[in-house]
Amino acid sequence: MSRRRVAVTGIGIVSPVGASTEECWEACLAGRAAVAPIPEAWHRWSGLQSTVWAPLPPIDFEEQGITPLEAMRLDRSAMLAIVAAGQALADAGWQPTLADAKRGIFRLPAIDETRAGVFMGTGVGGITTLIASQNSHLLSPLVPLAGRADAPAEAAAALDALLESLPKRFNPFSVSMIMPNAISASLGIRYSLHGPNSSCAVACAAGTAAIGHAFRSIRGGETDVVLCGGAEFVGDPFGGVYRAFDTARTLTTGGDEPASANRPFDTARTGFLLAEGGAAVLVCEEWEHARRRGGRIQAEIVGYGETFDGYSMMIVEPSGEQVERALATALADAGIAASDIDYINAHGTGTLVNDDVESAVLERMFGPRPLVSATKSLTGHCIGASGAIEAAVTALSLRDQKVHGCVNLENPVRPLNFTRQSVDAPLSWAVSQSSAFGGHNAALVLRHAGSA
Amino acid sequence: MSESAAPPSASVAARVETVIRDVLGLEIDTVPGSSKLREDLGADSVDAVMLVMALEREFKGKISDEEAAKLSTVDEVVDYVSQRIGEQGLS
Repeated sequence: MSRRRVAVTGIGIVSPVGASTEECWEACLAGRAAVAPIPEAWHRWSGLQSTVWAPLPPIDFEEQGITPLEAMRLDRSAMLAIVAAGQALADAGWQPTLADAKRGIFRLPAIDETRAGVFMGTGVGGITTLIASQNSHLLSPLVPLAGRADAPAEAAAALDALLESLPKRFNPFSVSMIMPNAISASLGIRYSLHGPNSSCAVACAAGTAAIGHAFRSIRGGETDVVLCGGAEFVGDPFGGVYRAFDTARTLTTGGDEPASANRPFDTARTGFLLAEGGAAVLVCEEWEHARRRGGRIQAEIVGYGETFDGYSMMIVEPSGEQVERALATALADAGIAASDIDYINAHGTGTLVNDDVESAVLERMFGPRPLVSATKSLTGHCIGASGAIEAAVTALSLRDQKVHGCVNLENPVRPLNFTRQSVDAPLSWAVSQSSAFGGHNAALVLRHAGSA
Repeated sequence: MSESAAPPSASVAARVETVIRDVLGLEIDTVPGSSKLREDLGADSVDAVMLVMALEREFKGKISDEEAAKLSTVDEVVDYVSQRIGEQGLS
């Protein structure tokens, strides 16, 4: 029996550059990057070194099928995942039918639900739900002071602003919103998928690893259909998560000129641009399963590799040995050579160390031939969603034979074949790779659906 | 400020019924006021929590867990909201 192949038949993306797959892909190809000053109020609490981020566009969640009642018991990270999953399923040609309105449960017609699973990555899960409820909790003794005439004006204004932005109660669904597995569980419940439901918490490589594990599940025969990807939301109203990254000195300090602050692989890079959040979901299917139902195969996933640095929680190991081994493992899994790769969607965060180590690995493994781009130069860093967004962009690149440019790349750190603007190019094989806090490295190899 | 005055109690009853229908996913024609939320309408413990949050959202205010625990029928919820509702939401 021949080896089971894995098709990508649906793609859903929500990111700072667009609220839908089409909007995101169009923005990437047009070089429309997301960047904006952080909310003014965040400067009240601390002297931040970074002053810009990549906010999400407005999203009408009710229009995307999430009722106001459901929204009360879902963290924003899970809501973004649901929006991306809805888009991916529609793109794959499935129209879910409502099975239980009270529980918000749908069914996908004509699938074996016991052989359908969910693999989703996230960095910090539902952390902003806990922050909101905890702030409400901490400030509750101050509620009677609001509106008192004898309070100093500045303090009264600060208190009013705080209380206005806080939830009125500690959310009774907090536990089920905070837990990192809430994202994959919410998709499994919503679409009645009873196969493996797994959450991958490997920070900035989470989306990549989740897709890799989904790929193995289908290829290994455990599942026929999988929703996989990543979701993240770190936009708490007072910038607490932002400050955590800022005080760790990971974020760009180029905020005086926002438009050029985010510049992966450029010698003038100063750190990464944090995104408010994002999500990407792929519908992956066993190849014959997709063909039998007439699904449109947009790309094929053919290899996966993951390794661990065992070096530092926050800095990639300087020799890049484990990054290289993750890439080599993925190529060997796909049964191809480094010289076969036409396009590399790099991790490319814009931090001094990552871009230096990663570009050195890419240079020695792949040389100057394959096209290289960094989607984070457009979207900012969506943490646990970023690897999934980048794998989705890689699949779209293979489908449309187009590669987007690296925004703000003027003086490359190394002489790789970086794209400056979007280009049309014949692409057969591509790589999407991620590294993460903790020391996790993960790489996917994808193939053009038409390549025999 | 007469425009923002509390709506008449009949309207409160209709709004409460809508909230209960939404939260419990009821598809029955009428919801008698004497219906018990748990025994007659099938509310489980998660529904009870959801109902309080949905009422707080609809009527703009806070309902304490102690007060919420005393409400067992539709009429009791309507009476409770009617007594507390004011121009600024639940007082």
